[in-house]
Amino acid sequence: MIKTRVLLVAVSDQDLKLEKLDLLVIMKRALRIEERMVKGVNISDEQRRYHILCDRIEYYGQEIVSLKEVRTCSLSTGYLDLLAFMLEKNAEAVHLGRLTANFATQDLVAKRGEVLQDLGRRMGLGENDDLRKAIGFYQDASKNKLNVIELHEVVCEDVDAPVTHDVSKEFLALRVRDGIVTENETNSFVALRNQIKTVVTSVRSGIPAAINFSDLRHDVIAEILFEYVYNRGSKVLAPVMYADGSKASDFPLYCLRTRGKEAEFMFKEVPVLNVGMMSERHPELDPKIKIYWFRNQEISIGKSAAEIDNVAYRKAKELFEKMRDEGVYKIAYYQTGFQPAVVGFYRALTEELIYRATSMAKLSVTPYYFINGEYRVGKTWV
Amino acid sequence: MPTKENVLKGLDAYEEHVRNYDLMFRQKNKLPKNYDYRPYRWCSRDIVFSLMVVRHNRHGNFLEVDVCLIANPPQYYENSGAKVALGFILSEAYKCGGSMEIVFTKNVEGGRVPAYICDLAIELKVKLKYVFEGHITPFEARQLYLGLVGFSGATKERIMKLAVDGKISPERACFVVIGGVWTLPEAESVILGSANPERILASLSDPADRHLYLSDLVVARTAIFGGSLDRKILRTELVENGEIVESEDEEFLVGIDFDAEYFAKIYRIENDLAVPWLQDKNLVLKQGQQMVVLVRSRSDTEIKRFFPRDLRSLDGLISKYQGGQIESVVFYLTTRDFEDLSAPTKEEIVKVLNQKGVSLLISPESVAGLTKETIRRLETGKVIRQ
Repeated sequence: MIKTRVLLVAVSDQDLKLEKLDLLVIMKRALRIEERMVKGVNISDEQRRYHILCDRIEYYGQEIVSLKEVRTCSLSTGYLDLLAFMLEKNAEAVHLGRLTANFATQDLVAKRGEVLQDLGRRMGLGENDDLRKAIGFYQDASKNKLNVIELHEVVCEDVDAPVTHDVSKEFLALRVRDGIVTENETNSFVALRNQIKTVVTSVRSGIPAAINFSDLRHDVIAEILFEYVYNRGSKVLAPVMYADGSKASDFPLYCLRTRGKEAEFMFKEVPVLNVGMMSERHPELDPKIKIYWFRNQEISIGKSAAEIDNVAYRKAKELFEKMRDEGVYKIAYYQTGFQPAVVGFYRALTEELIYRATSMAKLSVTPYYFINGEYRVGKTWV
Repeated sequence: MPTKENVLKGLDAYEEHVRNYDLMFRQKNKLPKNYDYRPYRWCSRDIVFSLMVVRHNRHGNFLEVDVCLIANPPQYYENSGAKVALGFILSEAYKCGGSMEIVFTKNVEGGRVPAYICDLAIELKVKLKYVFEGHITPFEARQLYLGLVGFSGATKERIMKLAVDGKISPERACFVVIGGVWTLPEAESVILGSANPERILASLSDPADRHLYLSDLVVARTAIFGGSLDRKILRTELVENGEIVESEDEEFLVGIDFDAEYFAKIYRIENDLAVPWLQDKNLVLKQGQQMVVLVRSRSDTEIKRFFPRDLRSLDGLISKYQGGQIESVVFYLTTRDFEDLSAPTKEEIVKVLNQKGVSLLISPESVAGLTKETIRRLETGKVIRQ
């Protein structure tokens, strides 16, 4: 089985110069690409460029190790597992310290060591031998004003311990639906209502299931989600999956209560803000719309539907959070069809309304669905 | 076996669907959605294996099969038509993101699971509970899919373990093979040869997380490198009307195994085989021998640095395979980056290999080319259902 050891290599600025090539320049270019990748625009191109630069750093890093006297520190094959674990549990800190990058320029070395130390302490990994070695190496490199390159050493190690028990029994015991759908509903609203009901029942009994929103009408999605979000019952986080197989974040259901008369009173005198769902999709709407919620360019960057859902969710969440201190909003939301963006928006809206549930109603969103050339009003989320 | 009446009814329904498809999509130059009926004809050369019409039923979230006509041509393996049809149905169900439930309409043998598919289910030891209702449940679909792909016992066991640990769905592992992202031997190399196969099969690593991405890239690249040797060995050429043609469905008879401990490929020779990519010599392996190949996709600097380690792996392979009941010949497969090494280094490597009785195979593939292909596969794996 192929496993990977990591070799930490500390290199001075001088040693990064190889004939006509200066690795420091390549590293700085790669750092600029890292910044651009966070923005998510033209991500595939940026990823390709980043790969080329990292590949160069690794290739010439190997040369430096073979040709020059440099400080190195070999970590075990467990180090990458450790990084994967940290990434899973605390992605933000891992990315802040660039722990999954294969190089650190002098100015970033100290920070990387600090993040490793901090994360190790917080996650109770202080005793991990690789982690202690890496922290020590980074501290030393920082003291000596050195850059660090992290190289892979591919090794073939024994296969994982053979399975000693009959795994097929556990496999067959995995909970998968073994029944059949007996009704073939043709009404879209009823069909999605039934689908969510099946998923909720499965999730509550521990059977994996997910709501598939792909290919459904956007008004159907919003209206049925409204029903389930405002329905009485114990809260459920329903998994969401799209037809491309990508899994989005769970959607909270049975989590809001309808507001009483006080909400009507609160919004009585408030002017309506006409908000379009996404720019550059229905330009005929432009004269009516005050502002678009999503910029098409920002939303259409994900490759999979779940990525688009996530981008829409984050963007919407950011905007709702900004609106918290800006007073009362009565939004007429002119919605068009783009399922992942619709789901991402309503997830953020639901979470925002959960956050505001115990205070006075200051946010109301009434969807207007664009269907067959006209807008139909939907139920108000408040 | 379906009755003549059922077949004729199915053919009528198929023709009707083809006409509609032509009208709705081909003439309008539009592409159908998952929820539109789509007719398919599965053939090899001029032999038809199956005629199918399917759509994703978005209301019930299942795959609806409106036509399923299966032929089992005697020139091919037994039940090959059913294998083609079921492989397609299950993959389509997965691709559409539904629940994996399959529903056959009244047009299919009066609304039951087709008889040939029932035969295949029996062959795969899967019991179908709703044959006459025309349903295959998600539970049954999972067992059928896993049985159908043809994974080795060890690979199946690893997939089951990964599924039990919640790391990957078995349907995904099957789909990447039937969907054509990975060949079966490549997928087996990934599943058995990687500590985290789920990350590769589901394309989970983000290129921005370089360490994890690179680690996956290296395993996947080595699997693809091994796959290139598979293709070279399996490819047969036929002579038709004085011209050499490659046949898409006739391959050289050779069994391919994988040694996960050394990341080596084992070819069990069933016909005499001229070993490809040898340097300055010819070698023909005889039926009953096996070719044991240590697969390493390394750049020139990596070859230089890690050759001593590869030598230890070769020693291990030699003691594991030579002297056994089956006569084994050991090879060291490397990329054409080998040519970039200095002449003395190359000579030294060849000399050491010769001393051990190991032959060097230099593939025309380069690390750069293999990496490019690997990135393409990982990207494809991410959006394969779109």
